[in-house]
Amino acid sequence: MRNAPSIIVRLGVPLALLVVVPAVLALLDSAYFGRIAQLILITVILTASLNLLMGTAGLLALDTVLFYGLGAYTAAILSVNYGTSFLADMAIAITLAGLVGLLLGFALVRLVSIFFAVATMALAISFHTIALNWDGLTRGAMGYRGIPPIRIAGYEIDGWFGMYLVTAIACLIALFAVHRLTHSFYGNALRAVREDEETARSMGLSTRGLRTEVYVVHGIIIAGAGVLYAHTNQYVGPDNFVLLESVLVLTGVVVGGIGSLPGAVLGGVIMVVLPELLRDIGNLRLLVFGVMLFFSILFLRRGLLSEVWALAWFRRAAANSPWARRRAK
Amino acid sequence: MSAAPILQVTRLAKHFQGLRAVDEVSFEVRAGELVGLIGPNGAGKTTLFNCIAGALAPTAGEIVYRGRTITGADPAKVARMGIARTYQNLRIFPDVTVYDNVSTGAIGRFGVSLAGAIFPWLGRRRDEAIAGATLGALERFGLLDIADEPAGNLPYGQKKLLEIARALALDPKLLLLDEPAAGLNSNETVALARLIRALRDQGLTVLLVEHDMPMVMRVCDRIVVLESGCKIADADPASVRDDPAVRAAYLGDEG
Repeated sequence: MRNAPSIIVRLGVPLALLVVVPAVLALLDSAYFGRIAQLILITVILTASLNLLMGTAGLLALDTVLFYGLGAYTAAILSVNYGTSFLADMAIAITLAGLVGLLLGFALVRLVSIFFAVATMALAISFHTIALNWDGLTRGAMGYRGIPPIRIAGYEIDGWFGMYLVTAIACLIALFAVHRLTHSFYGNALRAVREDEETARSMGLSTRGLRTEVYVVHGIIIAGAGVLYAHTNQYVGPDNFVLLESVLVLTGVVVGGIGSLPGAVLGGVIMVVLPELLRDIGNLRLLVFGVMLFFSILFLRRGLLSEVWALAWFRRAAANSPWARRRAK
Repeated sequence: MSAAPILQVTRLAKHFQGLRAVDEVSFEVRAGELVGLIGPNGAGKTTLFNCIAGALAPTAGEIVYRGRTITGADPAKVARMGIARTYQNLRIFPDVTVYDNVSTGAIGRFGVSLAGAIFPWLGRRRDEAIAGATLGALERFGLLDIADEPAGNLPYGQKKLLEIARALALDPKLLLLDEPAAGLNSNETVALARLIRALRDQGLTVLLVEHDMPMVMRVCDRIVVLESGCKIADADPASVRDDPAVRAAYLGDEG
């Protein structure tokens, strides 16, 4: 099965998310597992998107909660106050995230390495402060309760099964976009910029342009995940969007394998499943996360599924690989 | 001698806090020529290269490439206009594959776009052009069989070739080679000299910085000699070899 990777990428992932998991969920018939499945998919969108920015493009960002919260609050404010539908919220949130991303990205891409990280950390902290204190818009510490469930074209999707399916479709769209950006020549360009910016420029790549683009795209995808979160959780408050949440998403990326999309997906799954398994020990779970990150860096520097492995695997699945070309000759 | 100049450098100067690294250097390179740029360590060769490639903004002077002023231009723009370069201290991307390294040059040449990346059918033509140029460069340098190896795993000589292949994937009109023979053994140097000569014979203009004197004398059509930032000679290899100023400044202390 020399084209096994291609089949898994093209058919396996959609089949798993749209047929296998729903079948299992239907058999279990439990709202709890339905919600966990939704949360896993939303978290996978976050880790996949952060991995594009941090792993592939090499920009260590801590402002995940800024775009996540932007999407969630946009959906909450619009749907509670103006009765907008899910798709309208989605369209407005990603437009807004695109504009904010463009504005911030324009300034941020001038910074490198640790300066970029600190600037994005400041953004994450600022977002929480704004969400907590701008009572008129965000309802302060109370947050937004009673966010209506997902409504598409007049149909109300309020059961956990329907919400799972909507989340799964959104997750597939996000994964497809990130997959294409990571495993195409665009990804090669991003990795070149990450490895050696000066050399990448001398190869004709507009390094700032590429960085701004990828920052904007990552923000848009994360804001989309925020909209999903608001409508499936039906509550949005400032404490969902603290810096620690950014760090947890980042932990998922590091544990999975920086730069590796399958790694980011696996990391996202772990970040939801592990705390659920550790529910009984309460806040000690943070200690477990800390220990995980520590040992992951100590023993598995490239993560559970390394970038090198992932790129080689996807190369076999891709049409533009020398492997495929040589076979075609 | 009638060919039009592809590159004209006029009274170019680059000062680093009082140090005149390049001091009022003027020369030109005609299309299809293979010009050597030599001089003792610290003569300003690499600084001159960096100015031409846009990596450094010169203090004064002008650089004209194919009739357009590129003094202080963005290096990415200079590269897309057709000036490709290699580095003295080898700057490949070690963690990505040989193929992906070489593709960088082709990506610079054809460009990539967000929409074309996300929707493969929009970017297909570009992708095919990039893949074609990449494979062409790999084939030419005998790197096709190791295309999927991480570049950092290659022996030194092949890394050097990889860097030239990456530059050629840009399809440059002018190739700047900064000490390509440094660190190569004598067999590899001979093969490299043959390769550079072949590139020139196919119509590529080459500006070559090199310390390996026999190689420079053998392959170059003309040689520009720098010393302490100033040009002291500009002639064919035989005349340069016999030039007393050059002997004193450069060949003399080589023993």
